[in-house]
Amino acid sequence: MNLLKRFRLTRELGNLERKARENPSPSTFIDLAQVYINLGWPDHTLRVAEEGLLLFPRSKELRKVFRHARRQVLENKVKDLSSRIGENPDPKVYRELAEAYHSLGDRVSFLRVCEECLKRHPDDVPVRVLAAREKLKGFMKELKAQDGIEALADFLAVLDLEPDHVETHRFLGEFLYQIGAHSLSYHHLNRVVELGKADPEVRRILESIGKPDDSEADPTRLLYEVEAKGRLPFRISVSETKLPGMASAKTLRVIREGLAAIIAIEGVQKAAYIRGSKALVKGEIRSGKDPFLKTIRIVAKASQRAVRRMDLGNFSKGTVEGGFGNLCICSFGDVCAAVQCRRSAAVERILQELQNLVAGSLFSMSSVEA
Amino acid sequence: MESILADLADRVHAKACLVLTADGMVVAGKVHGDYRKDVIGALSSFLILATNRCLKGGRQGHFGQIVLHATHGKVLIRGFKEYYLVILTDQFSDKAEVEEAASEAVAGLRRLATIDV
Repeated sequence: MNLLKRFRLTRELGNLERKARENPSPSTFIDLAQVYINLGWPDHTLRVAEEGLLLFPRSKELRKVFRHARRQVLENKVKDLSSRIGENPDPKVYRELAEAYHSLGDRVSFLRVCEECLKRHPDDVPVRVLAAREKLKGFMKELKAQDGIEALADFLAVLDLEPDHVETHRFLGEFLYQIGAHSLSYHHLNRVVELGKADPEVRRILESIGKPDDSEADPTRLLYEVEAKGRLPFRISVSETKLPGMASAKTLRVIREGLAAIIAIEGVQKAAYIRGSKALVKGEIRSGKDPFLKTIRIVAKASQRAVRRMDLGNFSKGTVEGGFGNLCICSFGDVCAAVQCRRSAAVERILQELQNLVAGSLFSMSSVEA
Repeated sequence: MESILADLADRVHAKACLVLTADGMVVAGKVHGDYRKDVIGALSSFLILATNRCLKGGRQGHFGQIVLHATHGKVLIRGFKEYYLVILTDQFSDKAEVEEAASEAVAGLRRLATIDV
């Protein structure tokens, strides 16, 4: 592309970007993304789609563009990493390539890359764990004995390299419990307890095993039995606390008490705690369609994105001041707490309370999960 | 305008001080290190437009000032006339001090942007 063409193109793109920002609508973002698709610039397509989705999260077309762009970016990453492996077959690059294939949903290529890496670097624990977990996932899905045997072999190989690998002991313990090899499962889960990393789920399985007998069941035979019967003899029930987005009664109580304390501060009109698509509110909020909720969601996300790209790290808290009063927002990950208050309200105190609320709720969630 | 921004940057030890329009056009600015005016302008514009759009949607007008606290810095965006003053500082800066310096800088910038007939 010559300089004149490049200049014209840059100018046209600048105009389109400005138009999308001045009159934001799903179609303007899609038009702009389409231009970048035609130019073969997937990074820019992804950026535009992300910006569009921030403002219009329900647009199906924008989601389609986002998925397409993400796929393109990942495919380019795969190409780049594949060529880098040719020059420098480092296990870290293999890991990145395997993860890129995983994100693309290409299981066969993922396992092929792991296998290739393990041939060159048989002592690489992270890649062996990745491969074992994927094989275990395959076994749990289709109950094919061969997948289970391979997963088992990989996990045992990890323990040969790192005998105190907690994650592997736990995976093995749960896996063996589910196929009925309880004495072996007990051995691995007990090791998790000895290493001080046991959670209530591990203790619950150990309790249900009780005192293991000394008879050693052959896991391979048990795996073939599972394949023949088409079901696992023992299942680990997923506890409520493990489901993402669900809060326990204790966490809900912490949030409600926090919101009640904030709304009691003089000048506070509305208060909300948001996690994902769910919100708990207090004060003058009539329904879930209250513009306050939409505003804080968008401002928090836009602030997170802007400060991160400005190389300022993660957005933690902020205020928006105007004729309407003050909006105080505190955010951590996908959790956000916010307040609308009068201009005379004590903003610093409110921000402090919001931080306490977010930190308290996250601590409560993590303590319940642990 | 450049000298007002340079004084402001020195006073609050800012990483960047910019004056821009809502659509991200940088009118003047002073930046340190690897920061780029156009990048900060575009990101600030994104934040300004997204915030004002939401506020207008909720019939709450527009904002006068935004202050953001992040792990490695703070951002202050102050609107005046059809322009915005953007200040990036480190995380240890004093908010009250930055706000006071921003008010004085905005007063100076207002005088520059006013044409007496």
